[in-house]
Amino acid sequence: MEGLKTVLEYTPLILKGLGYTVLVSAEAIVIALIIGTLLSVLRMGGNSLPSRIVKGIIKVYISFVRDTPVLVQIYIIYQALAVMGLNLSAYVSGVIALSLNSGGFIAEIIRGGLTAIPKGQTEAAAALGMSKPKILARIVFPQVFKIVSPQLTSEFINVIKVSPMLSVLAIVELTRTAQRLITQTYVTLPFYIAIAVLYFIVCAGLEEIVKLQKKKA
Amino acid sequence: MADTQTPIISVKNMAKSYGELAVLRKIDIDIYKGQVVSVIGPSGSGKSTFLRCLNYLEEITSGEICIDGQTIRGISEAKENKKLNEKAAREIRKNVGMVFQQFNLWPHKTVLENVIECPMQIKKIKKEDAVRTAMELLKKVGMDGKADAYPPQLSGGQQQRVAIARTLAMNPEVILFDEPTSALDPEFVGEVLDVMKGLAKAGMTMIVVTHEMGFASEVSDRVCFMDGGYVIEDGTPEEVFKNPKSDRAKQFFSKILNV
Repeated sequence: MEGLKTVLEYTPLILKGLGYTVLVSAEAIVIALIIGTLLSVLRMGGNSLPSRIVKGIIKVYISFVRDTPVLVQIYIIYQALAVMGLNLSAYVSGVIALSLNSGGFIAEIIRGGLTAIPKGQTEAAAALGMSKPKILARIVFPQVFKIVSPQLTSEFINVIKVSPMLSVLAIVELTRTAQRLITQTYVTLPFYIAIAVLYFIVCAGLEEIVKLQKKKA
Repeated sequence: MADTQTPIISVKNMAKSYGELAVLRKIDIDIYKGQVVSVIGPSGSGKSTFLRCLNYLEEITSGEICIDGQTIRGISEAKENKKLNEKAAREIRKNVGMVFQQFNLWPHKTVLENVIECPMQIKKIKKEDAVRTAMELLKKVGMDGKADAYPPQLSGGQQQRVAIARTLAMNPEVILFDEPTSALDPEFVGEVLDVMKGLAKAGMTMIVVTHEMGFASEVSDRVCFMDGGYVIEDGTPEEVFKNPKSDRAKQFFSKILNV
């Protein structure tokens, strides 16, 4: 009970940490969606040499993202951005690292969705005179996003669940906040339980929102 | 009835192959305004490919297609043809509609949204005007009662009638029909053919790849029989059905008429 009291005392700080977690994740998710969509469009290119090169690079990128630890990716991005002379805050580096990671996964998810769209869908639009970008924006992607929304949702949740790793860049998100308070107060378990509950509420809440959206559609 | 002065579609020396496989060997055909042309023949004879070449859903390997002053040329003949063809195709598609075997309605849009999509997005027609025209067209094909339904809720025949309305909404001069009734349950074939007959009567230029010999003989002005990548019979239904010149056509008709 003492522990709970301590946790409650620090509610404002914890909520601030939660705010950072939500903000960082939301930003990363939006950027990752853009990256993932762009990558999947670039991968549609034909068989000309330039588009084969682009597709090769994307393939390597996606393999890298999938087959190396997120933590290592975060360190690499942080250091690489510094080496490139970009004087970015840890926060911005963190968002970029999460976005690049998730963008690779989303590109794969969208690719799966694209294969589920029959060729006739785009042919009908093309035969009516629609331009390629319009076909993608009006006919293809609305259907793809509907098909892959379960996988996208779990990827979004994954971003939230990976975000504690940003604490290594000294970003004071929810987990980092808890760790700080633990060293200050010597109360341990109650803080971890508290943040677990908060993560659960955010992730499960996101899932529910998506479900409701789906029902409406 | 048909204007025999200048062809609306003129195909010269057209050939199409996928690598080694030649699908169309040499097609020469002129189609005039108001003509209803049925293209018939055995599977694999190149009928659908021929149709799909006309609005550049397929590239052609050699030869040329002229429609409304726009020309599509064989891609094996010059490197820059691909780019030029795409440009020409954009113009051609403004005047040439297509109806597919699988309807290809967009399932995430309602019937009405399917019909107004292209007039609004491509022709920039105001929504209320597009809706008014769309409702008239849906009425014409007997689908105005289902304007708010989604395509998967409809029967094949209903979907195909909506697909025809969607094509008509762009006000094409020519409509290509790619086996429009082949994917339908037999009970729904009639309603789609009726809509097509109506269009033919109203003077629409139509090229119809079909296995419906009844439609081909009753409604079309002209029947083309294709085999092995060639048009080997081309004439009035009377000429082609009653007096085919080639053995191949005679064989084909004797088989399908025996069924």
